[in-house]
This record gives sequence, C-alpha cells and structure tokens, in this order.
Amino acid sequence: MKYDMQFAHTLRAGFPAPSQGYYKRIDETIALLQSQDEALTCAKSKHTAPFIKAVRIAAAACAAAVLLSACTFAVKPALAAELPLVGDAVYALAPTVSVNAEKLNRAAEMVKSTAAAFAMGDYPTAASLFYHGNKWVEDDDTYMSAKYLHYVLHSAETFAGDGAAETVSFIVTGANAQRKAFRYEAVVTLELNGKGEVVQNELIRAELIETVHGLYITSLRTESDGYAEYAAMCNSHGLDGLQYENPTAGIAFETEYLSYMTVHKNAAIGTKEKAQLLDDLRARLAEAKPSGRALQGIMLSLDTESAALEEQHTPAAMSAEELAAEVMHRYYMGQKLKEVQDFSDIMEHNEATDLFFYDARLAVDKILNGALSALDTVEKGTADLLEIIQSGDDRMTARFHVNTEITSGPMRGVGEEIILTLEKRGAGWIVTGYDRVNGDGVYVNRLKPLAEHYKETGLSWQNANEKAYLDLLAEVN
Amino acid sequence: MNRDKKLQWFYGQIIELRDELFYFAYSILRSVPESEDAVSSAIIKAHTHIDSLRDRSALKPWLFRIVRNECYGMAKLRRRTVPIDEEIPYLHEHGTEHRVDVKTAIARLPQEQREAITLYYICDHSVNEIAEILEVPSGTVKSRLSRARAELKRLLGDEYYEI
Repeated sequence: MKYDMQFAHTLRAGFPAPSQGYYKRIDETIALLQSQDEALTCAKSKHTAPFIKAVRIAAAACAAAVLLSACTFAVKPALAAELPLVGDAVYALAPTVSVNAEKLNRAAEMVKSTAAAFAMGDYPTAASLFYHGNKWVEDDDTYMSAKYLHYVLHSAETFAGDGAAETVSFIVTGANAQRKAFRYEAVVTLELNGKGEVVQNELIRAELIETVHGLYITSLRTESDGYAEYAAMCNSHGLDGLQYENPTAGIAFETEYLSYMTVHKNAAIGTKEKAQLLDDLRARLAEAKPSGRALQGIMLSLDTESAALEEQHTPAAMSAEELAAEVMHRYYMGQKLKEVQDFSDIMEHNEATDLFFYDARLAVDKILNGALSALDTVEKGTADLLEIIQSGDDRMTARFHVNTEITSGPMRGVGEEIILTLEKRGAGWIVTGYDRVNGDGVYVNRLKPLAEHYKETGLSWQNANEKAYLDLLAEVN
Repeated sequence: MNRDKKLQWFYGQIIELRDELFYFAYSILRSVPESEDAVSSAIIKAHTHIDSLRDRSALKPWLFRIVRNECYGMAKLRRRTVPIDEEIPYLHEHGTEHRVDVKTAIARLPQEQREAITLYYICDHSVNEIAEILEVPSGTVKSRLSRARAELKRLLGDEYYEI
C-alpha cells in the first residue's frame, strides 16, 4: 500500500489536538499505577525484607499513593465515584462548581431521554440511563415522576390519548447544572409538543453521578403545576395507597385508571367500549400485583362502574317510535340548552352514529358563536314508523317520521324523516345506527357528503367525520 | 519477562503512544473529552491485565484493541441518549455537491474506514498491524483504506492533495 505523505498531512488537519490537561492526566494515571505497583511489591517482599525497611517502603508508597490519588481525584473525581470511603472523602472535600457546556448538554439530553422513555413506557431504556438500572422504581420521586410523565402523554385531557404519545417531541428549552466532585444536580426545562398545537412545559430536577463508565442519573423529580395536580388526583382516587409487586405495570394501570375515572367514564363512547376499558383495567391491575389498604377501594370502584354500565345496557322499556321521538327531542334540547345532551342510555356512540353526534355538536357550536339562535321551547313530539327496512329477532332498521314540538323560533313545527337501526336490550331498544336520506338539513346536504368524500380519500371514519365537522365549523367561525 | 521491567516498559510505551491512542479514540468517538476519558480508562484496564501479555511485540495492537473496546462501550452508552456532539453537515443541497473541510469529510466516512485510515495515516501503523488491531484480514484493511481514500478525494476535491 502506497503511503502518501501529503495525504497524511492533509488528514492530520482533520484531527483536533488533545486538551491541555490530557498529558498531565496520563502522567498522573501512570504515577498512580506506579504507586500501586510499589505498594504491591512492598507487600510481597514483606516476608523477605527486614521489617523496618518494609514498613518504610510501605509508608512511602502509601503516602505517595495518597498524594497522587488526591491529585488524580481532584482532576478526575469520577475515578473516586465508586470507591468506598475514598468516594465519600473526595465528595466531602470537593467544592460545588458549575459544569462545562458539554457536560451540561449531556446531562440535559439524558434527562430528556429519560423523560421521553418514561412517557412512552420504555422502561428498559430508562433503566440504562440510571446508575442503579431497574432499581430506579425504588426511588419515590423518580417513580412518581415516571407515573406522571406517562399519564401526561396518555391522558385524553392533555394529549388526546389516542396514540398521540408517539408523535410527541421533547425539546430542551433550558438547563442549568452544578457539580460537587462526581455528583451533579441538573435542572432541565422540557417542552412537550403534542399533536396540533398542544404544548406543555415541564421542569425536571435530576441528580446524576459520573463514574469511569460515564454519566448516570440517580434520581429525578418533576416540578410543575401539572405534577402537583397529578399528585393530588392520585391522592383523591386512593392510588397513593397502592404498592405494586410489578411497579412498571403499576404505572400503566394507574394511567388507565385515572384516564377512565376522569375522562372516559363521562364520555359518550358507548357502553361496549367502556366495558372493554374496564376489562383492560382489571387485566392491568392483575398484572401489577398490587397490595395495600387502598386496593379494596379500587376494586370496589371498578365493580361500581361495571354495575353502572349494566344498567345502561338495559334501557327503559320504550317502543321504537318513542325512542325515535326521544332521540330528536334530545337533539333539539341541545340547541335550547346550548350543550349536546347525554344520549348514552338510548344511543350507542359508534361508527354508525358518530356523524349524528357531530351534527348535534355543529348545531350547538353555531349557536354558541352566534351564527344561529338558541331554541326557545322544545318538547318531545311523536314519531310514526313509516317503513321497516330490515328486521331480525333483536335488531331492526326502520324509517321514522318525527315531529318535535318546537313552539317558537325559526324551526317551529319541524318534522323530519330519520332512519334508525335499533337493537333490543332487555325490555327496550337502543339506537345503534342513525341516518337521513332526504330533507334540506346540514346532515344530508353537507356533513354526510363531505365525510363520505374524505373516507374515499382514504381517511378512517373517525378522521373523515371529524374533518367534515371541522370544515363546516370553520365556515361559520 | 520480569514484572517490574515489563511495567516500566509498559509505562514507556504509554507515553510514546498517548497521542496515537488519543487520535484513534477520536476517530471513533468524535469528541475530545470522551476520547481522553477512553484512553485513561483503557490504560487502567491494560495495567490490570498486563500479566496476561506474554510477548512485548503484542503490546501495541493489544493496547489499541483495549482503547477500541472502551470507545465502543462509551459510544453504545451514548447512543441510548440523543447525540449532542458535533453535527455532521449535509453534503448535498438541491442535488449540488458542496466541498467540505477535512474534519467534516473524515466524519462522513463509515466507522470502519475511519478507523483504518486513522491507524494508517495518523498513527503510522502498517497494514498488518492494523489487521491485528481490527482483527480482520490484511486484504480487508487494504480495501477499507482504498475506499476511504477514494471517498475523501471525492469530498475534498483535488486542491487539497494529489494521490
């Protein structure tokens, strides 16, 4: 292989020189090793050399070792981090100093990576960044922060809770750190950017240790209003009294539990979906293997929720016509009370009814922003079954004509045709499908065609319906 | 070999090779403080295992291998966090190639080519010595050197050197 001097010279320009302290550090490392060699030799020759001479040599070697160690540890305290007694002494004697930019960046990035791992539930990655690995769960502050960060990204209230966690980015917007020997304390401000324009700031205080193997986190604590609220929420739901044999599974359980109790419980997502969520919660609870006095309270809450859902599964006995009239009565009551009404006891929220809820919501939104007037008087009217389109033992699809009594305002005397799919539950019916095929309302002429258009472009029904609703809302805003 | 003599010779070699060890570590880690840390740790490890070294001539490749392992360990740890070290600029913009400086050009080389070219041109090792350090056949070292030179020539242009 031909050696090219000019090429070598060019390449050398691409390599920086070692720092000023590098050569000194190498010399000190060698001196330290030599003093160890001498001490070892001294110990080995103890049996052959005269006692006094051995003691002198050993004392000299030890003194040299202490002196050199002190110099070395002062320059590179990380070497002392894992040495019993020596580490304590070095730490006690060291001053507190600010850290250089590179170490500050490293600490900030480690805190960011840990926070992201906690939020995503990626606990192996988090453990790799901690000095004690998986034992981070034993630190109360760290464990509580892990629970909080996981909740933040999976909570429907903050980041949509629909898998948005994967789309969240973490940005370090501020960092500060100081060092005492091999221990660091860093305060890092993170900006969490979720879907759309959701932004949340979190301040994290972390303690780190630097060893010869690198920098590691020993403890982490989130400090923000959101964290304080979360801690209060855990307390009010009795979760702080739970102990888990599988702590990371406990985090997943608590996140789902709080999401259910604070969001899903009152959401119009249908009893089937709620029942499924409760089943999932029970499975997660079993996986976490909890104990503690609070456990009975948690189990009781889950049982109470299940019982409440059972009641919703069995609607009050109501004929199909009464049900059709009730659906439209609540639809227009929303436009009187300026709030979409609760349909959960008579109507499931699913793919076949989703657009109905957007239609109801759009009408209320228009009233709220002044594009429409609220209705004055709304009373339940009557409904006639015009045609049974399809029927079975427990299910039928039929066309109804509904007259809702609106005695004043622009929609006085409204009457309309709707198509409902009804399923028998207990002694009554529940609506599982809604449609309109004629009339001059927004549903038939704008909302439904627009949603179908978006579905044809490949969007899911959820996204297509939502986009159609948002498009129409934008027209009146 | 007498242990004391062996150790004295070991320390002498460390002093002699400290620059080369640093440059080699830098070719892997691309960070001055981390490269210095890696060499320091490697020296302590080599000292701990010095008794396992039977042949003086084996010290040099053995030391470089220890440094390399140390660097890989540190790089592995670093990969678990978001990289914060120097950013390597993109070389293409709207399909036009821009000339880059030597440091950036070296940084753009694949890891194995960067190691080979550092050991050959910066640390003055022979192809056989490099093969021993990297634990690959000599032919592989030659092909890595050749590819690295070609890539550097492409990135740097002719005005910097003539091969």
